[in-house]
Amino acid sequence: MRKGKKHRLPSCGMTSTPPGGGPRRRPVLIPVLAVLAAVSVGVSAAFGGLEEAPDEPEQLTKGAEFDQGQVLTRFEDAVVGRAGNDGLGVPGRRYLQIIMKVTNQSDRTVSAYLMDRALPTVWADQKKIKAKDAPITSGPRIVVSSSGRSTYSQLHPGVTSTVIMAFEMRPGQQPPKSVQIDAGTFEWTKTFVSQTYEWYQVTETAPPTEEDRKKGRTSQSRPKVAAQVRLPVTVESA
Amino acid sequence: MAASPGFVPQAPPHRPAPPPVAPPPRVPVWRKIVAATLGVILISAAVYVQTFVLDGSRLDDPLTVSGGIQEAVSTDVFSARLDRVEFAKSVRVKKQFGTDEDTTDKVFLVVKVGATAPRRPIQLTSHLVTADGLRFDVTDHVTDTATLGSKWVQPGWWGSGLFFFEVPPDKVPGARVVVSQKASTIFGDQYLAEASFDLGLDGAKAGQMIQAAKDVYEVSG
Amino acid sequence: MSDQNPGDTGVWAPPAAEPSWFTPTKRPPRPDARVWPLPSPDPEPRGSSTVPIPVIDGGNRARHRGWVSPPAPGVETQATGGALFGMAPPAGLAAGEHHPAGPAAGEHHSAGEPRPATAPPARRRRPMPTAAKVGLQLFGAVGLTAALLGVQGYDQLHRYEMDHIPAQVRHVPQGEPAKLEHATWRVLSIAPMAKQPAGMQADRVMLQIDIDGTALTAEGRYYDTSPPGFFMADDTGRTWLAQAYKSPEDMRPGVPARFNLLSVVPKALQDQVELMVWPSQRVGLEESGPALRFDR
Repeated sequence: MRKGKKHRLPSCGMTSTPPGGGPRRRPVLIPVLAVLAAVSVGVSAAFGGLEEAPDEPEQLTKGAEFDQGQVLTRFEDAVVGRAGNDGLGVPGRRYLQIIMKVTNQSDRTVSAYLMDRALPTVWADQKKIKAKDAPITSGPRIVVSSSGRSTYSQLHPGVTSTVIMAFEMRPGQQPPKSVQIDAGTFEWTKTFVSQTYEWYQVTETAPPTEEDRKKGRTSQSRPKVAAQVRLPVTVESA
Repeated sequence: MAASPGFVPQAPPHRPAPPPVAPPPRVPVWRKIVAATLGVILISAAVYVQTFVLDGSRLDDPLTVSGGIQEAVSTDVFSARLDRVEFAKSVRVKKQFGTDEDTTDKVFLVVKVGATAPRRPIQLTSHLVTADGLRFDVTDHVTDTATLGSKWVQPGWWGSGLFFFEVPPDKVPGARVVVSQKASTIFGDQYLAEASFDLGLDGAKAGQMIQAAKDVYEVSG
Repeated sequence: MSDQNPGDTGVWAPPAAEPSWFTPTKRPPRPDARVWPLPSPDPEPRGSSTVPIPVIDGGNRARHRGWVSPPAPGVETQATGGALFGMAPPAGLAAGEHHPAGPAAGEHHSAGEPRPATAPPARRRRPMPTAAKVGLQLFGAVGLTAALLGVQGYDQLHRYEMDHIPAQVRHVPQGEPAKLEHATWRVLSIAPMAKQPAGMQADRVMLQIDIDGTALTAEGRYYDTSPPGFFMADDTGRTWLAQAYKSPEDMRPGVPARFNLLSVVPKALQDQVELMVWPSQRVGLEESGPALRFDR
């Protein structure tokens, strides 16, 4: 019984056997793969293709902490009050102040005006009081408050500072009930030109605004809103 | 095909033998080994040399000269010396009209820097690099006019001035203070010269100095 | 050990069903093939047909030829004569064929593969000496590397020169006016301040410089708010700032306006330092572009 001899592996010579001489091999694998590919394409098409699913911004409330990449922000409070001798503004005038605890998570000192880009849009009772493209001079003051006697503008690395975003209010203007803040994020990415890593704001493309259409653009790039924060406004007396 | 040496047949044997295929020239084994080794060495060398190529993030790094405390460090465009390091809880700046006083919940690290220039007037600035690589700019709690940053460093003599940093006390051990030429931020200058000073503060020494920090550090500016 | 093993009892038989690719089957016997001695190469190997184009009998095709009848004895003697009487091997042998067995074997080989009597032996160049070959390769490598580095270096130098315009300093004789961009300048006086400021170190001195500037064009008027770069320079190329403590309130084209400058210089150089004017302080610090230097 030397059965093994019969069923040894095909030698190299086997491949040179002329077609038709041996049994026909049916190509099973290829049709199966083709069917699988067709099914997966069909399924992904049925579920909206390979485009990233739009993720809804996180909804946050007072006291919430949100990681924006370059900074970690804790939304403490929204207050309407008069500026004193604290360097926050003209003494005696009323300001709507959004008070945050901001931790610089990058490796170097940055300006507090980073928060101008980190929080692109702010609404007070559905009325936009800060737009993403507004010039810095017409926007709110953004300061670091530490001693209560003066204001600063540096966020040092690894340090948590109190940052106040202050909107001046017109005399006699009613304080809003609440403010809603759009928060964007930053990511540490390689720049295309210089191949260096930097913190870049995460953006998304959106349908063009009226102004963009006038300039002939077909889409706009805007900071991606990763979280929306709603803060009730407390009014300080006097 | 055996032909006895010295015997030359008048005619080749009548045999329709296949024409002898010229064998490839035989290369001795030792030469193959040498060639392979040489090839591997050359390839490794080529790969190794690539590690010297600066990547994009390092191409515009400054040119740093390092030194210790009270050591004159010379770059091409200025020489600097870190004269002393002090700590303070608050800084009082005496101005022509009135004084500014500023406190911190961290600590002020004050360095006195002497500097001169070999050829042309120059303005200097400074930053502090902690042991874990965090970069602190000079603090804005102290007005610029009280620091060396607002003064011109000129050839022919040593000028001196202060730089103030506001740092958390636990970041002080192992920190370095870097004095550099002021960059014009618009043009993204390359090859800026900087002098790096190791403060030589270990944990114990730093803690001791911070404990003994001055309540008020007075400067005019 | 062939497939037709007489001891095979056929216990296992392939299934009678339709064979599939994974069903092992009994292999049919192979037809006889000659394996040794090696079959002679095709006289006309496949694909070697040259039907529309006649074959050109080059040196390489000779090896595909089958048996060639021995040439006439006279020719053969000529072909081997070089090996017999000369010290150098025949040209065909030297060109790469390897014969460790000495001249006799080489002769035998050349006799076994005779060339056609009419065809001249293929011309082969003398092989390049190894040293020359290695030298040439080395030169190629070094030369190419040098060329690459040279081109890169030239490019970078060119770019540097575009960014850093060299200084073009014009010397102005004493007391004469000179034009620089949008204005003309004339030095009136350079002298140590009569009353040196308190705290001035003994080795330094504060100089007071008076200079007149006359705007020539509309742009020249702006020198009153942003004065040009004034520097004091010594002979070794060191410079010191000269800052305007009093600028004219208004510069009108054609009307001279007075600038009062102050500069701190080493005391030893107070009679040597000369005023330099650059279009702006920035280019003055970089020392690039046109400038004036007023002789004293």
